[in-house]
Amino acid sequence: MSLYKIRHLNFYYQLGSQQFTALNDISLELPSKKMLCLCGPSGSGKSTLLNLLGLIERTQVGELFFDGDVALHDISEPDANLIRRTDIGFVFQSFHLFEVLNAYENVAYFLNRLGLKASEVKERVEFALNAVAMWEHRTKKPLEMSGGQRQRVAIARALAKNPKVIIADEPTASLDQKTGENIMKVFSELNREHGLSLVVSSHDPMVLDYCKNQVRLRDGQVESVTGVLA
Amino acid sequence: MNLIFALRNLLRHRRRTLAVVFTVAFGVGALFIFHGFNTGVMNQYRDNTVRSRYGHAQVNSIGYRDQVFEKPWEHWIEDPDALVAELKTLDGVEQVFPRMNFFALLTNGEITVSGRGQGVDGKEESKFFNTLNVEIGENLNTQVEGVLLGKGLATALKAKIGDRVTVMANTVHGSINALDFEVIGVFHTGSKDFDDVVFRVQLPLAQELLDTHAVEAVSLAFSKVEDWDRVNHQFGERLKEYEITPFEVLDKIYYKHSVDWLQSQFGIIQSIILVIVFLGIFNSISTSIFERKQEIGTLRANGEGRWDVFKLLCVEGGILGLIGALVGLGIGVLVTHTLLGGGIFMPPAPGITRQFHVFIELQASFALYAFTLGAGCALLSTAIASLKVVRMDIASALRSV
Repeated sequence: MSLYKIRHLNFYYQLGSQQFTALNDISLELPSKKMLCLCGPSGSGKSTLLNLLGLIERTQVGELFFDGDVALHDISEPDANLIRRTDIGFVFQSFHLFEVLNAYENVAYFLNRLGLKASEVKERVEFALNAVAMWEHRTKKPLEMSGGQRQRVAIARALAKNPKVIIADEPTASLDQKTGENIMKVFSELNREHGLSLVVSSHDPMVLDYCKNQVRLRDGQVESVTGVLA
Repeated sequence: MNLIFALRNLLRHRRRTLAVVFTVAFGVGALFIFHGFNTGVMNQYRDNTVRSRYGHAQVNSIGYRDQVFEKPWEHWIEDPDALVAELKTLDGVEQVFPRMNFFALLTNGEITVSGRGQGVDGKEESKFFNTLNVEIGENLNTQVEGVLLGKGLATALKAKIGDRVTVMANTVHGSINALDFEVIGVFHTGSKDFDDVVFRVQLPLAQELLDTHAVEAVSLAFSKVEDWDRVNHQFGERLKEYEITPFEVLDKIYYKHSVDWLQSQFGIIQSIILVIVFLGIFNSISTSIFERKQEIGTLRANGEGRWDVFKLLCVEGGILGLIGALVGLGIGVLVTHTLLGGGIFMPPAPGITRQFHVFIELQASFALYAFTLGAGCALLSTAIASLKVVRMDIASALRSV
């Protein structure tokens, strides 16, 4: 089953009186349980496409189906909230952890908001933090962690929701090369061992080495696809 | 979890949180103290009116106060003893003072001045009318032939303690009568119009002077001011041939108008304080919320709805408002009992000539009102400040720095 089906997707930004085309007639089918990478130079439209896949931006023109037949291009705000809450995990370039909460609480926060039982929350947090090797650091707050540790906690936060896909926007861009590589190893393991679907955007060659299924974008259009997408 | 998150967010910027808490506290404390001050002033006015002139209420024949009569004594209370006995049985009535007013000429040696006499029960009235402010000599008590002069009247008569003053008046039958009195004291109530003309003598001598057994009115002293409704209700059921008037109406020009004026002034100052508090909180909270746009974007990206985020921010503002309002009430109580414990010395109020001390009289009922206003103001300003950020789209919130 397809994770995403994209049909003639266009997206425009309004910059003052001018309209800027960020995506131009994108049509793709992204399979589930794979690690996929959207790559391309800055301004190619990869972050915009990622935002559309994650329902952070709403579809303007075209069709976008998620998890088979969920039409994201025609979805109400409450339903979009629900999908983001339960089916999509996010990992951001600058982590976006809550400074006032420790690692455990950061991961647990959205689980509590799902209304899960305390025992299940604990179980999921423990699993997710162990999966990214951060259980021992669970009482640390973000400002007490390195960049790599923060990104691991962010991944754990996304993973703990048990989502259908994790969307990661330039997840290594704020990290040094070695730490970035460690993060990509974590993603690879999660994909390989847990069958987790991942959509990553990056222009970092190291990331591309870990991710053979690539969509290369340029000027808002698909330039090439590789791996299972070919 | 949401509450813990909200509390920790508040502790993140302690200085800013303290600034908001103290802004609310300032507003609530200021409202609380200012209302207490106003209550103190109004109670001073009330006591001045009640305990220098009218008592808590006055009883007359029906219709007596509604018009001017050519021969007012024809409408006086003919059997005052029976009425006094009945009034004393009313629940809430502590003391009863039969009275009469009359116009007279007072002569001291070669000086003659017109005045308005009050025939009163000196012994009973001296126990209750304790704000008459006897400046020289002593109050009218059991001295049978004593006369107590208003300050302006005494000055006009050049009367000293011990002087013999002749009081000449028309009897109710139209003839002229005169009695001699001994000046025993000089009073001032603070109201110049009153002090320039009024003198007091014992009721039996006033009745002898006017050749009548009637009294014009009976003043009442209650156990407490709040007894009016209770007394009025019983009075209406049992004494239908008389009417009772509360002191606010008897002294409408001075007391009622002063109270209305003070309350209007309080309303304006209350609005000003609330606007200052609102703007202060709005400014601090807006800054705080705008700095947290990325965090709000993260919440929204992970499925929190606009309303969820709005509630979270309002919980934070609400907590600040509650703490600030509590601190404000605490400050109000503390300042009232320390810095303002000795009261505030005030210049003469409009219409009176003497200075007076005002004590801050904090009201429990107003504490709740001020608390609600302060906390509500914090909540409202948070809600308004939050609306703009909550309306932002997620991508813009995440991109912001």
